[in-house]
Order: sequence, then structure tokens, then C-alpha cells
Amino acid sequence: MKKTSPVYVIGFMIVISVICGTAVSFVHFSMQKTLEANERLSRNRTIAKAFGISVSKQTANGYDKAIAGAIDRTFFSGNNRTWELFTRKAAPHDIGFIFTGIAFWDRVTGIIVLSDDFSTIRSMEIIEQKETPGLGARIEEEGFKQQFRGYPLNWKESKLITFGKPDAVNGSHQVDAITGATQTSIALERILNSELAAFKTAYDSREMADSSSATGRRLN
Amino acid sequence: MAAPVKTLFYDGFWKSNPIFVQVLGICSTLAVTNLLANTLFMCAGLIFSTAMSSLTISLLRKQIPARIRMIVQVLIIATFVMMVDIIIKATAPEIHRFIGPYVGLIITNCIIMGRAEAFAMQNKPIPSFIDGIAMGLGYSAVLVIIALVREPLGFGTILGYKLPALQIWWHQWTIMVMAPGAFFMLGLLSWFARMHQLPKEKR
Repeated sequence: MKKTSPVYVIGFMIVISVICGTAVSFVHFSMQKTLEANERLSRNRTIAKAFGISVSKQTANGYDKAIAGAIDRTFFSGNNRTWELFTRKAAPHDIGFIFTGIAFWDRVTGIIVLSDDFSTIRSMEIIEQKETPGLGARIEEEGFKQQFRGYPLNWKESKLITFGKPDAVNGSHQVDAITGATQTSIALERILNSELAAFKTAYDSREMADSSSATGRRLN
Repeated sequence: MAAPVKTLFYDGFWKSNPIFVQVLGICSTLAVTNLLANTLFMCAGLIFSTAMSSLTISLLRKQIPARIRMIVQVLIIATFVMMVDIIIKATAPEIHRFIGPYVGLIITNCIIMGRAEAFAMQNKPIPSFIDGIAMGLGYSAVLVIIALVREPLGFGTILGYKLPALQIWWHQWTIMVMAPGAFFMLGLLSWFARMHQLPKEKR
């Protein structure tokens, strides 16, 4: 058969695509367990960091045990979604939840830890992001995340967290946006504000449901 | 006829070095060279991808229809790059967190595409494989040199280990951690290399 014939060209493309696809799938399948374990370790490490839990044995099991020992992990429904809720067992009973939203390029997922009276943010950590390396990806840098520690929340205001230009910061209640990553900064500000508001609404309705329930059971 | 092995390595390291002669793969050169560990993983990934894709393309060169050769080349390159990406993600997740986006970009790295089109499509498998390794090593040599300067000056460390002397008297240069630091280093290296290459070209 001639190499220029359409049948040969299409046939060749199908065969090479199947071979390449199979090869990649095989490698992925053979490493799937390791990849899942790494993902769990990375997530648990971020949660432990958000709650300030020190972990002596820094392995997947070590983090699992440390988190299980220090934090209650529950799920509850509200605002048309299921929320993953973390509550510190010892006082102060800080509350954490997983936030998520579409940033500039892709989905950003993280955890926000609030004081038990919801008056301040204890910490904000990023679990996963795919923003531009060196620009938007700097939302993972300590200097940026540090700004959320102790950030006061006024739930009567429509905007709970305000991002500003670095030179426009004149008070303590403003987060320096990332220079050169305006779109990521705008997106993260939007995500954090909407997720905080949605979580508070869902959490409050859960509290009401709990108190009106005869058994007082938790909505998991 | 394929060039001897010595010539292939001489071309990859010096005469046709992908970085300072062909000026290819600059994106990753600037991005990953602030830490030597990241650089080594990136280099290993690129050497593997270049060598294996050149070998595969050369093996199939007589069967690949000319009209779709570029598509086939990209498909083969992408396959090896995705394998590298999965392997790094599984074996070194923390390093993958930083270099992950650049590993994916190896697919469009002009070094691999250039060698596939210019060498592997015209030569036998073994010379193509060696050419891939030589070009990958030439790229790696430049990246490692840049990283060996940037990491100590920027972080005061080598492979994450603190250099005691630098901790005492050296004030870390933040600019060496950032992309401009790589631009300075790349410029100096290119200047040095071209200064030694140009007189020979004129003879």
C-alpha cells in the first residue's frame, strides 16, 4: 500500500495512537497506588500545616494518625453541596473547611481555618493549583499566605476579604495582591469571599438543624 | 551516513549546543535552574524523552507518512514526556510540584522537535538515540552550570544543604532565585561560549 493513500495515513495514525495511549495508560496504572498515596500525603500535610499540627513521623501514615488524633473530620450538606468540615478537638476549637473555585487557568483548592467564633481567619493554605509558575502560582508562597493569619472577618460586610495593590496597602485589613498576577489575585479574592459566605450560610443552617433536631445528632 | 559518536557528543555539548548556540529550551532553562535538585530531574526527563523519542521516530521513519510526520512526532514525544511526568510525580512529588508545568512543556521543547525532524528522520536508530542523549546532555550541562551558581548565590545551599561559609558572610541575592538571575547567567555563558567558538568559525 502506498504511504500517501488516505487509508494508510488514517490506519497508521490509529495504530500509533493506540500504541502510545496504551503505553501511557500502562505506566499510569502501574504507578496509580503511589500517586494516590502521594496525593493523600500532600493533602494531609497541608491540612496539618493549616491547623499548626506538628507531625513527628512525616510519612503518609504519620500524617493520617496525627490528623485523626487532633482533628474531627465530618461532612455536612448545605447550600446545595457537601462540605468537608474539620474541627480541632482541643480548645480552641478552630474550624476548617475546604474551599474550591476556578481561578485564572484552572481550579484552585485549599483550606481555610477559622477561629471557633468565626471572628478571624487562623490560616489559609493551598492544596492544589495550576496557576502560572512564577506569577499566579505564588499564591502558595509563605509571604502571601501569611497575610491571612489573624485576618479579621466582619460578616456584616459584603466583602469579607479585600485584595489591594502592594502600594495601596494602608491598613492591616488588606491582602497584598500578587504583582504580575492580577487575574489570579482577582479570582482568588472572588473565590475566598464567595466560599466564606457560602460556608457560613451552610454552617449556620446546619447549627439550626442540629438544635431543632430531637436527637441532636450531627448532620454528617 | 550518521556522524561518529564522538562528533555527536561534540555537537551536543559544544558546536551545536541547544542552549547557547541553537537558543532552544530557554523557558525551562530560566524556570528550573534556581534549585539544583529541580534541574537534575528536569535534565533526566529531557535526556530520556529526547533519546527515546529520537529512537522511536528513527525506527518508524520509513513507515511514517510524510504528510503527517509532524503530528506523529509530537504524539511520540508526548507519550514519553507523559511517562516522565507520571514517574516524577510518583517518585518525587515535591519536586514535581515545582517543575511539573515545565515537564509538560518538554512536549513543545524545540530541542526534541528539532532533533526528531533534523536528525532522527534521516538517520538510523542507534545514532539517533545517541544524538538524543548527546543533545540532552548538552542541554543538561548548561542547566547544571547555571543551577550551580544560582542556588548558592540565591539560597545559600547546594541540593538543599546549607553552605556554612555562605551562611556567615553572604547576603542572599533574591534576583538569582528569580528568572532575571537565569538571564544574567545565560547571557554570561553564551558570551563565554561564543567568544571561544566564533574565531574557529571564521578560520
